[in-house]
Amino acid sequence: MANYAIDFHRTASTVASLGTISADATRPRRFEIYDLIFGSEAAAADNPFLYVLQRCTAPGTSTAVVPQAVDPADAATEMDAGENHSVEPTYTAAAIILELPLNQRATFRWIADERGQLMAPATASNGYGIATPTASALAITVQAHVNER
Amino acid sequence: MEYRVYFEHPVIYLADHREPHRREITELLVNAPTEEAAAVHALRVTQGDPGTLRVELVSVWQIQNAIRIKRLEEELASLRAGLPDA
Repeated sequence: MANYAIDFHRTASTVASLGTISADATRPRRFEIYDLIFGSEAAAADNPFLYVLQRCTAPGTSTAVVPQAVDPADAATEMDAGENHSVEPTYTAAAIILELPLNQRATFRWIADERGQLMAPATASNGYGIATPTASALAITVQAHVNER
Repeated sequence: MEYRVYFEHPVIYLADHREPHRREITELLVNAPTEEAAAVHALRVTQGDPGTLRVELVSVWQIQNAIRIKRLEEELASLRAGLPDA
């Protein structure tokens, strides 16, 4: 078990996802999200954002993000991450695990309860996607901390 | 599948807003189901010149093994450093 940090960036879009975390396509392992920070680094303004974390079964097409081991002594991760999607992940209908309505000025940190980590199965390419169905075209960032089993 | 997309001429990676003027890149790692999808994605986020683009499939195992081998070499070097001279 090791912990990894993954950061996602993009110009927010209502139709294109910010990022995904998914189990490896050939060597899937379970993982759990235990910490998430949502925010916008754009100049301060009042804009509504809705962040949605939803289960997915395929990660779509995106720019790869290499998860960074929090402890440098840990090995590289098996799970895959991507940002700035141009082809959407295959979302599981209604499987919304976290939904955050935020004002652009408000950065929000979600920390899992001791037994409330968001789990993903050891199933190829399964995981979570982060979408912004309500958004303005501004720079947004999500920082995820994930434990891979 | 993970692909490495190379550009002969540096392009701007538009996904990163922190310092866009400094984010000139010559390669991009892309998660995509096919090589074509990887190329399309790389062109979309960089607005690079398609004529300068080259796509290669990345073996994740190769990268991870390279990291592990490097770590083992470092450990070996540190062990050797601790040994008395022969």
